[in-house]
Amino acid sequence: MLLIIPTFIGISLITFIIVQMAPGSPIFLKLHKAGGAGGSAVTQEAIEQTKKLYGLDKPLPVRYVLWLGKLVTLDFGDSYKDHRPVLEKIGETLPITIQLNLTALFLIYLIAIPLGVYSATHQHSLGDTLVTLVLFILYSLPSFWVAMLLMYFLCGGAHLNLFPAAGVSSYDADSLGWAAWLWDRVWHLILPVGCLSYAGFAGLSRYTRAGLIETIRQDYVRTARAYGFSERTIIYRYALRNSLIPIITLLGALIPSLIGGSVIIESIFSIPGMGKLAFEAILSRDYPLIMGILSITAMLTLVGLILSDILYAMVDPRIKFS
Amino acid sequence: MADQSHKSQGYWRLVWRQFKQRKLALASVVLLAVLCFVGLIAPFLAGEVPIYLEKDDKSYLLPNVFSYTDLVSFSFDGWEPGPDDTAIRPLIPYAPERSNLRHRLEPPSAEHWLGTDDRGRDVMSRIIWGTRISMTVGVVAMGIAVLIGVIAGSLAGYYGGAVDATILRIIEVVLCFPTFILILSLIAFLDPSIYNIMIAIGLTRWPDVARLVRGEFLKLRSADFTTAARATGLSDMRVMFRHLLPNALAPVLVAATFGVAGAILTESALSFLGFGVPPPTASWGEILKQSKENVEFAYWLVIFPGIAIFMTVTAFNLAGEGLRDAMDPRLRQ
Amino acid sequence: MRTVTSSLTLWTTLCLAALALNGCGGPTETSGNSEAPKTIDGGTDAPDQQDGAPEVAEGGPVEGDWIVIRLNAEPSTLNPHLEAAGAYTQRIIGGNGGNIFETLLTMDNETLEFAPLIAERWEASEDHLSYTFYLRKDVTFSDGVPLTAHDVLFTYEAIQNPANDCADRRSYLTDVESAEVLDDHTIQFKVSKPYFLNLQVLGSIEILPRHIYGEGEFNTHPANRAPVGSGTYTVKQWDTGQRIIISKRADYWGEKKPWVNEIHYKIITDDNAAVQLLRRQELDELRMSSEQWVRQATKPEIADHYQRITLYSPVDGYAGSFGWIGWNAQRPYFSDKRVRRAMTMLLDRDTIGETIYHGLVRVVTGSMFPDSPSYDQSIEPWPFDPEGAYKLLDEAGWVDSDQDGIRDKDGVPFRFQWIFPSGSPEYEQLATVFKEELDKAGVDVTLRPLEWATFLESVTKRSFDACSMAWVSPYLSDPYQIWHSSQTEKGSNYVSFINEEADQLIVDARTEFDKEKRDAMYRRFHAILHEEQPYTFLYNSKRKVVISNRFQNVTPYTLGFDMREWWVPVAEQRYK
Repeated sequence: MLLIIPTFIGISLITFIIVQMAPGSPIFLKLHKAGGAGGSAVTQEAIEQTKKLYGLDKPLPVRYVLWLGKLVTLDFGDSYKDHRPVLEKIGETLPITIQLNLTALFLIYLIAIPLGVYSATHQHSLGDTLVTLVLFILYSLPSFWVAMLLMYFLCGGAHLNLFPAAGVSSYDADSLGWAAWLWDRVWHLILPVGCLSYAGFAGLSRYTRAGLIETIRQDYVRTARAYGFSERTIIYRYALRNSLIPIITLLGALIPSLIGGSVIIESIFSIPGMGKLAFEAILSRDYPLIMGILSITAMLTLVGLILSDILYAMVDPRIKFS
Repeated sequence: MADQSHKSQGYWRLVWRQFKQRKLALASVVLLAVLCFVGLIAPFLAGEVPIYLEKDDKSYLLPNVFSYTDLVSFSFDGWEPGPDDTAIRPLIPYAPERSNLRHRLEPPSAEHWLGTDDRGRDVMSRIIWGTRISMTVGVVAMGIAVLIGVIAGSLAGYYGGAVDATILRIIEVVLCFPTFILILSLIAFLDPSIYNIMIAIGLTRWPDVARLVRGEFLKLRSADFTTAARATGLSDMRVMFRHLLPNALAPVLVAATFGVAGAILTESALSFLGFGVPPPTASWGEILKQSKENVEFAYWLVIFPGIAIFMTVTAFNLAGEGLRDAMDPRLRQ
Repeated sequence: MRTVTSSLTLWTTLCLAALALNGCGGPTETSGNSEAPKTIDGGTDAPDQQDGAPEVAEGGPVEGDWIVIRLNAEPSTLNPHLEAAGAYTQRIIGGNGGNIFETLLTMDNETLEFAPLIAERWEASEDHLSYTFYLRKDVTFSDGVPLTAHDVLFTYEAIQNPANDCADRRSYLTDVESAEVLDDHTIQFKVSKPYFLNLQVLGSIEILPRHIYGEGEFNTHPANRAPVGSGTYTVKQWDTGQRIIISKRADYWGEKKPWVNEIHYKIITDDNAAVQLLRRQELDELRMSSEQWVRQATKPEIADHYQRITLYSPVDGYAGSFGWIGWNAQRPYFSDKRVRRAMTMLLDRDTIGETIYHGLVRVVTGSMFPDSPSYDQSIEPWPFDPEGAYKLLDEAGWVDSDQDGIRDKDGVPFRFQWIFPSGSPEYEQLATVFKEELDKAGVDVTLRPLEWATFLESVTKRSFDACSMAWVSPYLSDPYQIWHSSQTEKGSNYVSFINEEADQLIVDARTEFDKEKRDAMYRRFHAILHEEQPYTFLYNSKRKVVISNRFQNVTPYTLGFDMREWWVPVAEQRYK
């Protein structure tokens, strides 16, 4: 567990360096809005004042230590942009991103594993080839491209009017009962979740397939066969259960890529989640916010990785002996 | 050692025999070879500069590839050969960067096979030239990742101990980052150039390779031939890169093939968000970017670059998958 | 003048960059399009003709209904004085009437003269060094507390306080020496030097409530997100990242009250999504790009339900805008005005305007608003003339002496980088077309679309060869900031334009209170600009906006719309 600390310091250090070394200081961005009326332009004084206000007048290492010090007390500082606490901004957006990503994750597992099992049990059959092909084609379609087309064809206008084109709830959502509210939310999330998840099917189902094929060849499965268990029982009762174990470990690793993917999907569907927040923070050089987002997702991933390790150890008896 | 490399050759022959049986994978490799070829000979397929030119009593061989002092300040924009001139032009006589504002957003026609884009540039020509850029971005980005990954993985796997622990920590750090946000930050903060795109993608993709190489090295470290190599007094470097690495290359090759596919997709996503290759360079992502504004009335800007991307990415994935199957003795029938 | 792309988030930048460069509606209405776009021309010429406008409903205006408006991005704050305030803040709190916060003076929609708002009258001293405002006694904030001169003083002091994040607003007030409350409803400002814009500067400060902001940290005050102002609306609801709703004050003190009950600002980041919502009539107002305007707004699913209006005002409260390419005069190639003029002559502004902008822009030749008397209408733009340009370049000594296809002089090749903000398709189109023309001229340009923050830093540090952006101009504007030689180091004179006569004219005009004399000076200054070509001036473009047919009395004024005038007949009201 102590290994988290160096990892975390590494994460924060990398973020800090990338962000601080970047050109385009937030000071310029802010002071540039006007040159001032009456002809007085952005004065050096104004720049210094603003720098001081943000603590940007101190040297880099000092800024890093200060930031890290505050971090221990879970204080990510205030956003440069609107002076609101970073944690509060992330707190507003994270739940939506988690809703989006957990649903996507669930969908990926729900669809990819059965397909993987099918491929493994029908190895090299036409069905297997077809599944492989379709999943790889899905993986290869850029999500923004699919999102754009879905929006054009399914969200009103000249074509089908099936789904909302923006946001996570209708304008009157607050006045709805919980069931209607839930339906409203689901209705809004169908397209974004679809776009976020379809690319993940390929990887997971290939993983399942490979794992299962390997398990089937193992001694205990042969033994089970020899005992005359039906093929179905062997696959689902024994082989699948064991081959699923490593798949658990993938959970942690999927988190960062999904959150990365949310950036585009959230922007296209106007979803007020953390991906969109990150994108806007990057563009407005909102250092504390970028660092907050990166470190919080990294921490989440870390927790996910550790959780899946623990889960792995719990489920797989072999680990105890090794 | 000779024995080792001999075995290695036999191994690759075996892999190839296995690979050949996978029709989809084979077809993918053929497609990729064709695409590489298209990228390579782009100046002969599309462009306004002739392949062969006789003008003003002088003849020029391959002015589309070599530059001639006489032609340096001559513009082929809208140029038609006169009665005394001879010109053999590329198949598609439009330069990828030549605009024609009076013919903006025209649908596919005999003149412009895949239509024109928002400033009247020929989409076919841009897709052909974009093949170059997109494939290069994918391959070079993955090359960077492989280079870093192999070095880090070898060091970790060979030396073990503190070196291994440190490198594992670094890998973990990089893996924890939401990749796309990291790349986006890097590109946004650096200059939007094709090199920075390659570097940013490469910097975020090496950990997978490093882990694979490390794993193989751990297996091989205690193998007899390693001990023998060490005993003959060969330097660590030599043992690592001459003797261990070739044996670890197979999984790296598979990972790299998948990686190229991912890198091409990442490039197109960056372009979509406006962080792609700077204008007027053509890349598939850059062509697709225009579909954002024109999705409703210019299907050719949506469909054709989309097909180019997804065919290539699928091909890379199928090839990688076939390679993995072919190399994995357990999956062999 | 303010930069058009002034706001903080990219979305603002994108939206506004596009807005300034892709105007629509103008001299050439059709561009080979059989369906000529029907538009209301809200320029100054013909504000009356409305196509697709609803039939005038019977009876007078009635209250009710909502307006649903798209915002490209969420504003960071609703406190207009904070640095974080951007175009979207302004849109919500301001508007022509002052939705949330109000100013001492307002500008009359028709006459464009200052008119009373919070101040019922005002006096300027003979020497133009002191301004006295007499406030109305019945002005109240939305929580019922009366607005007095103390609130005005408080706001002034808050802006001047260096601890507050208002450096930008503060820079407007550097010449103001003091403010003094004479009595509860009278306040007097003293300024250090006479300046024709002082009245505007003082009269356009949004007044904050002292009783709210008096306590707590100004920068992070909760009221920045839940403001209390004296305007016609109050903030009813703010769902972060989704929508901001403002609702009409029942107890509004003023005479000109709005008819519409609520304004919903819906945050929609994606342009295509916004158009889809428009087709489903879930939006009542949308600003469009030229391409969307010609190809989508003309389709029946939009044209049948929306009034299509174009006007030169880029955002409410501003008269116009123009895009430009600035040539850094400190670079060897651009120090010569012949070279700068050659650059202009290599850009086919007419063709680009007709095609990329669908003819809905007009080429400008100077920095003043084209319909104002400060702009010299008689100046013709430099024509597109490559041959002429080559001759000018030759004359200036830029010839290809080493036969490498690139012109050079004294061993310096004519190779430069052109930076512009990334994300605006129109800019990119213009840039690539221009690059081809420059290539033919033997000039090598590298296009560098830069992300907004990086772009601004390069511009501010003068580390560019050529750069492009756009300025929006208020009706009364002062060229000092952009063109005076004192602004070359740190001001907005990015291109280092230095001209003695121009300097003199600019400085003299600042203390000239006779408008006609000032205009004459500005017209002379305009001629100098045209001659010197420190910029290649691009277009004054129109805002293209669709507004639901439900709304009656939608009038495009020189300074934009006045939503207080809009109303919906009872039968057509959609929201309760």
